[in-house]
Amino acid sequence: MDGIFTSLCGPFPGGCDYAGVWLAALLTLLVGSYLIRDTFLFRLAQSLLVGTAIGYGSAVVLSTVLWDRLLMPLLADSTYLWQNDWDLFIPLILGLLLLAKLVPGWSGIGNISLGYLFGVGAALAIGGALSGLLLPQLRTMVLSFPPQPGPENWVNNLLIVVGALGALLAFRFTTGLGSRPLRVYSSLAAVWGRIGTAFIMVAFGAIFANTVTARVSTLVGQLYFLLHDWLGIVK
Amino acid sequence: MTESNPGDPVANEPANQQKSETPLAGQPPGGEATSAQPTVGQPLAGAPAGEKAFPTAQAEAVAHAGSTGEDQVPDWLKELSESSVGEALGAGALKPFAEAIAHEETPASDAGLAIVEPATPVHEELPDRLKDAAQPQERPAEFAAPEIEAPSQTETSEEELPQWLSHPYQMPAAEQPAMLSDTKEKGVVVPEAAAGELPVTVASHVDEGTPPSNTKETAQALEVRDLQVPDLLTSEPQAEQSQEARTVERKGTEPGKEGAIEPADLTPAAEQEVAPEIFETGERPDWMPEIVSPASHTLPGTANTLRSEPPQLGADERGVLPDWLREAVPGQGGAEPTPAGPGSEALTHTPPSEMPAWVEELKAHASLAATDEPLPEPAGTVGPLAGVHGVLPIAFSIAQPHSVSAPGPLQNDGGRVFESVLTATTEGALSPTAAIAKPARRSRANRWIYLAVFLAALIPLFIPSDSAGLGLKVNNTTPTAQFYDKIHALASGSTVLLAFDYDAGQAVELNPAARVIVRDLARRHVNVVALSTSPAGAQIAQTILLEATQQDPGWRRGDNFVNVGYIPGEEAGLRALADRWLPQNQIDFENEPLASSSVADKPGGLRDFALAIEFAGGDASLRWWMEQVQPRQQVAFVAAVSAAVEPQARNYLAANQLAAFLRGLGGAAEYELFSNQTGLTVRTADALSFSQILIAAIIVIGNVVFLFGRLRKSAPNRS
Repeated sequence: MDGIFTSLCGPFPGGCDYAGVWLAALLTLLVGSYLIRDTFLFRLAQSLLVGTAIGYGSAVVLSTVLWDRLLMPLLADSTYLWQNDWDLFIPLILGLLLLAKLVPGWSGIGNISLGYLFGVGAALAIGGALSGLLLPQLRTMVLSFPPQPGPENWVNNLLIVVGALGALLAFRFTTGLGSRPLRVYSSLAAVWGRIGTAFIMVAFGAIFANTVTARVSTLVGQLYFLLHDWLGIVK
Repeated sequence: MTESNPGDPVANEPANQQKSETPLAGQPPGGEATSAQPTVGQPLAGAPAGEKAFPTAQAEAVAHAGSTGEDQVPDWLKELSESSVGEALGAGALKPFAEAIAHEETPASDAGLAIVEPATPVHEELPDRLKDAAQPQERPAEFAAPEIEAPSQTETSEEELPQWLSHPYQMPAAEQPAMLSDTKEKGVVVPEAAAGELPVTVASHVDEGTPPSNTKETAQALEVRDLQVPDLLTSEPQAEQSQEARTVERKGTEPGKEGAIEPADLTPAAEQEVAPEIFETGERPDWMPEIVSPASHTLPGTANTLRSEPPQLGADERGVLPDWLREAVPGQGGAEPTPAGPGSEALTHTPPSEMPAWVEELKAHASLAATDEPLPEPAGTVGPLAGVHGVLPIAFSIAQPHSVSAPGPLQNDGGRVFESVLTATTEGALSPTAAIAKPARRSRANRWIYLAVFLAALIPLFIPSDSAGLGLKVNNTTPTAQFYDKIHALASGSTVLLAFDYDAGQAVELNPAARVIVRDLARRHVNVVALSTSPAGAQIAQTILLEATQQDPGWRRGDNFVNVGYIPGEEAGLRALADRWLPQNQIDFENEPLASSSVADKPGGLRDFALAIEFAGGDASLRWWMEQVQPRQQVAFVAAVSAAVEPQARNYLAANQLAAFLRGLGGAAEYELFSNQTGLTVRTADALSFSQILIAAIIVIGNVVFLFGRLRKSAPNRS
């Protein structure tokens, strides 16, 4: 693939880059046409984006994973295949079984590969959530309990404790029935849960604001690309 | 064969009085429905002249009770006298009826089914309706006898007669009760009160003419005589329909089957007419013709007359008949009044104020009856028989239209809830024109907002940063400062792991940060190993590394940097990377083995790296590194994230999983200032600031307008 681009772009130094800039600018304008209405041009640009992303990703996976790390070792070192690369047969067989999903009559066989994928993914997700998310966050919250020097630290820690516990209690539903201590606890949990709900709403608002900022940043960056890289107006 | 009593108003009616005939089930109607009503005591349609009217059991009972011949009084009538009925009527109330039964007057007319009137004088204690029966009736011409051959009648004793076949009204015309008299109407006379008491479903049909108005009196007599009259045979007309008389057209009589009432005859077919009172609670279907007063109906039975003797039925015929028709039932039925059922209210016409006194007394005696045992039958609750115990519900043989009952409280609550939901939605709903106009207005407002944001992002790019007034101010407290400090804490020649985990969509925001960081590392002669968990990230990394090489030619591939390329498996691949570094025979992005690059030779794995910089375009990649790699490797992590990932990055920063982080375009601009690089990212800071200020203002203005709009809407409601 690099040879193709080299042969095409070699005679024209910088030509491919120039063509790339013009192509990117044109596609940017096509996408911007959506502000008027959903036109064919916007759908054309959208389809190009999806197709290019899928195609490029497929090409990278085929070349760098299947061929370089699976098929080439199996085909190249066939003499010592069973001594050095016998473990490559496992992903090969699992991949072939996964292809059986395409055949209606043989789709049950592909469940073996799917089960392996789901099992590994679930194990990694659960283990990673415990060790990489829950425990560090709990440790940080617990460390916030002791008083910290300085009023800002004290307020910060208080907000962390109240917000974290309130967010957890916001998802606890009580009936208000039972013995007196249970009713007191239910009332306290209900009140604290509402405070936690407020913290959750603030967090959602912050996430939304940052998302808007990201989109505005993309707009600004693309305008800068059009004005600077394409039109050369902005120096 | 009984002789007609001179006082029998029915029997003395002119012979040419026409009788309406109603064809039996399966037979076509004999003619249009007329208002002719058979008169009590008149013979059945088709019955030969001189045939005595088909008596009712009640009439028979009262006739027996009032008869001077005590030995002729059936036992059941005696019991009736002793029972509440007898108590209500009084000792002598039944005497006229008994005398009528004893005399068994034959009606003079040969009209349709009729009921023999009591021959005894009207007793003072008789109900008013019975007193009115003393009036002689003039049978109109249209009530002529139908051409039906009447069955032969045989002499039978009073005891052998079924209750409804006997002739209770054997009273002189002047002494007959009011119910039996009809001076204006034709046909069978029915007492007014009887129409409201006795549900009679027997449809009668007359050839022409109008039925007598006092057909209710006949029905009352029927009620008195035979309390076991099936509902099919009894019906009560509405007050306005009392003018119509119907007679049941009997089937052709045959020897031995005279007076037989076939079950099919009782079926309320289309040919039969049912009292409209049945459908008091609902609408009468079109296929169901009108019914007339029950007393105006002549009971099907013998031809033209009410026989005083039961018909001779065969064994098979008896099998299809109901029990009460098979043979006379002594001592039963008459003791209990006609039960009131769920549909009885549809058949009752007599207002409570017009109820006969003896029915009222029944209720009173029923309540005061000192009985040790509880009453077997429940008390009636509706209609004129309300409060009378032993009232059996009326069993209709025809289907009533379904009457929708009012929903209970629970149903009402559910309906209110549903109604409130519908009302809430409808309240907010707009009219079609308003609904169409609203999206148009919203579309125009959105376009103005788009234009404003576009101009706010465009105009500052043309304005020098110094003239904008905003600029970009940095200090040591910003997160970018910590990030810069971490980078500058690296020693020259150390190796840094760069993870380009973003695609072309986030490249606009993260490429400036990646470019300035890589350039800074290259300038500081820090080695770089680049990789990516996304296929497009590897190409982006290659592009940025090559740009840095062009700016700093001393920074070369293999010696200073290497692009490992795409790491498949996402979190599984990172977990494997954390456990074991890449093999040296692995091909990098430039199709060279990693062994050819000294930078990639890390026998200690990730621990050999001084710093790991994660360029996270989405929260997923940052989470993978924090969950799979950071807990297992003692290497410092910093991140350059998109603005959307900043909240998550702050959590990791607070948990000390991240040493520092840099946020998108603004962070890149700050880093340029910190690193004294002549980047162009600073020019975008003003545009970014203007755009964010405008968006914040739009949000505030929109909320203010919304709140004022709500206040305006709620103000009229409060006022």
